[in-house]
Amino acid sequence: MTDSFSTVRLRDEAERAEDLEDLRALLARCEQVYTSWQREFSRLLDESGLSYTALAARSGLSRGTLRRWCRGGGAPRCRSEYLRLAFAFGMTPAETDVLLTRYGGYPGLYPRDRFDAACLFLLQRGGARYEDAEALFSLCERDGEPIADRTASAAAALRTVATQEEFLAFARRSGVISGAHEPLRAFVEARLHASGLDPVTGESLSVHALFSYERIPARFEKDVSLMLTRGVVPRRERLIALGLRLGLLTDGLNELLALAGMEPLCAKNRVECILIGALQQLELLHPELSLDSAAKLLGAANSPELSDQCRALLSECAAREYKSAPEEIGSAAEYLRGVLRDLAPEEAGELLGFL
Amino acid sequence: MERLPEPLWGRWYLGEQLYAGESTEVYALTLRGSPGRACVLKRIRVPCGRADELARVWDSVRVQERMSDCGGAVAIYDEEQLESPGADGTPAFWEVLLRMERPDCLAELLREGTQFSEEEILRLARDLLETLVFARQLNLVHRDIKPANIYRAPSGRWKLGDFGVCARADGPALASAAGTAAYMAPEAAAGRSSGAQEDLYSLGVVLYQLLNGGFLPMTGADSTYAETQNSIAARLRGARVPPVRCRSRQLRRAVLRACNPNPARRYSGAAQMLADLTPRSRPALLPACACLLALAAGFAAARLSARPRQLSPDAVSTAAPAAAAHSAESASQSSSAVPAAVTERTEDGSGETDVVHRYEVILQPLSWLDAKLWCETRGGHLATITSAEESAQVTELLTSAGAQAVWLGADNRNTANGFTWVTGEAFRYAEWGPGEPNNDGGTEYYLMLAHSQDEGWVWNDSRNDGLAMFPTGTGGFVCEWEGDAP
Repeated sequence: MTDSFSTVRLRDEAERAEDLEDLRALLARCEQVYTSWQREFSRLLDESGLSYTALAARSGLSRGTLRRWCRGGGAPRCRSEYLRLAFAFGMTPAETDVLLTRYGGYPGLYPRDRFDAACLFLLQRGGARYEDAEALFSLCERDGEPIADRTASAAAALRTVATQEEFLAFARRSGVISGAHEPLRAFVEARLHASGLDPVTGESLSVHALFSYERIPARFEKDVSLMLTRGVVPRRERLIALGLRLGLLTDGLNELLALAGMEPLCAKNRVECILIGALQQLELLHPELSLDSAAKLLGAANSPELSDQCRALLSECAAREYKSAPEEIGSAAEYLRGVLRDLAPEEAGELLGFL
Repeated sequence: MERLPEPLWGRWYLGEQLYAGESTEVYALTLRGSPGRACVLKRIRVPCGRADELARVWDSVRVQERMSDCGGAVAIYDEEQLESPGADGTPAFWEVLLRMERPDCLAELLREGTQFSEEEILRLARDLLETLVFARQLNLVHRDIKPANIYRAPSGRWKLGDFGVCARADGPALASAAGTAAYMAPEAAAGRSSGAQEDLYSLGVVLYQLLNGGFLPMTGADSTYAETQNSIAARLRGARVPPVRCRSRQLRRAVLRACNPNPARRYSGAAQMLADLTPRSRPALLPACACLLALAAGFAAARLSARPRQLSPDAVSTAAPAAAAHSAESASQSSSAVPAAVTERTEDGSGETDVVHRYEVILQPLSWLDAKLWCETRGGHLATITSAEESAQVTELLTSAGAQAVWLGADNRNTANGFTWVTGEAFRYAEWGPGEPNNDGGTEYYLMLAHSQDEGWVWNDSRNDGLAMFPTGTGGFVCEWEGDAP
């Protein structure tokens, strides 16, 4: 599809949708614009001019797998398969991140992870295969000095690395990653704390108690635990679902995704396009939802910046005297569940399961 | 999707699933107990309530049926519409079932690494152009020609499929961009549709890709993803493609012209491109005649190159170039030959991939037939002018050479349908003077470019010895070479 129907334009249209019917009409009109792995992979393969055999040889994936993705649907089942393709197609790190985050739902390449750093180094140099990244990774020393670098400075340092020797020196310095995804953890912790906050006693529930109280499936608890203890980022759909369960709206979700190294809500994804439209309506019709979460968050805020943000939102609401739509809705997640079930029951299946 | 009630249409059973897309599935169909004819089931699903979408599906089916009348689209044998229930038992989807012939998809053939011979590529081009000529008669534009929509029937005939985004050439739908970026014409990407010429560009890119070993223009086996995307974006912005490697000059030129970013410089329609790719039936020459002609040509060439002088207009003979050369009198006047290489630069500006037209103005008042021979014995041909740019290039040369009238490479001796270029290029672009061509006297068969005070440089039809009426030193002809200089 051409840029004439860009993601930006699509997002604008989704945000301007007045009601669900508008949104439905938009979805119908843009059928061909939405991303699907089958379509994207066929495009990548066809534009590269490579045959199944040639791509199989370059990527280390089987011809049968590649053929299946083109003909019968199905998608890569692990992050490394996306990485193999990125190497085989000669992508840059930025293009690889799109593949990982938009199509795989995985976090993008993370410069503070040694293997990801090896991928970043080789992708930006070009002409390498996935196996080269594995080989380079195996050369890295297992132990090294902990690094205190921020992600951005690690990425910047990595960009200046030109030779394998320099890379190994970089990897030695980043040998033990401490504080990986620290901002993401802080963000999630604050929201968890706010969600579990008892307005009377001022005490907060534990994650486990909160999840059982809210009847959130146990697998989320595992995601959250992995994220908080080891900095492991869950896949995109789960992260979005978790955000919605924690009462996040558009801005909050986008912030969460950005901290996880992912793109903001993408209008070219059918489900996310619905979310963009529906969240926008929700925020306009039910400002009490954002007010409510801002008020809760203020109580649980663990940083002055966050407290300021909440206060700003609250005073803006007070100044404009927002009025809610008459009908009652339980929670954002509940509302969105209804919308998704109505508009895209098949594609949203996984997300609905989490909601 | 729900399981379908079998047998379909009374006798067909679902076989292997060949393709599963978001709303479309394709299955092989078999007759119970026998392999049966090779056919497939295409199953298209539309959510209930989307009546507009359903109508669009049926519209594209109708177009496909009409197009298959000329053999140019995948044939549909049976069709049916069902309602399939959702989880709660109420109808959730409309399903359009089509039983169709089972061809091979070009995209899949390419993915399997199939290499195509030039003959096969030429066949594909002709088959699809015939289909597009037919589409033109129905006033339709396909708008999404790409390997995934091109099929090879068991008979070997190439066909088009998927008329989903096709539109009436004059319809309002053309205002929006449709199709696939890699094959989209620059004007379509910019939202300025050129109608049927969009399809020619897309077909040009497909042909280019096939001739280029399966790689899109300006890409190859070692192109990175960014290089490929940049090349596509550059074409959408109007970059020209370099000539493709191809033994047949005819095919190479046709592909290059179809891929011209400027729709006005492309073929005017599929019919014109088809004519260019169809072998011209030349009047058969007896071998002896051919020998004689070759001898005469050689002799004339030798004489002319030995004495590059202007000939006296009176002495110009229509019959024997040699005799004309003999009677050359004005030996003191020098010839005026103005060579010029006009190069079409490609995007990257590299010299290797340039298309070179080299023009030369020869101020010798030969007859048209002699001038044609003169050019051909030197590996060129009388110049053809197929666009305003080429015209401007030639007239500039003529002005600087001080010419007043020159022969160009077109005539209408043997055709009832007007002028044809000596190269077989379609005769589309013209700059006739007022009232021309008029075939005054019934023997004006040859194309002359002449200058007058009032009209500037204009075309007229002239007699074989038409240069005789111009002052010496101002009449001649323009010879053109393509590719490397002779």
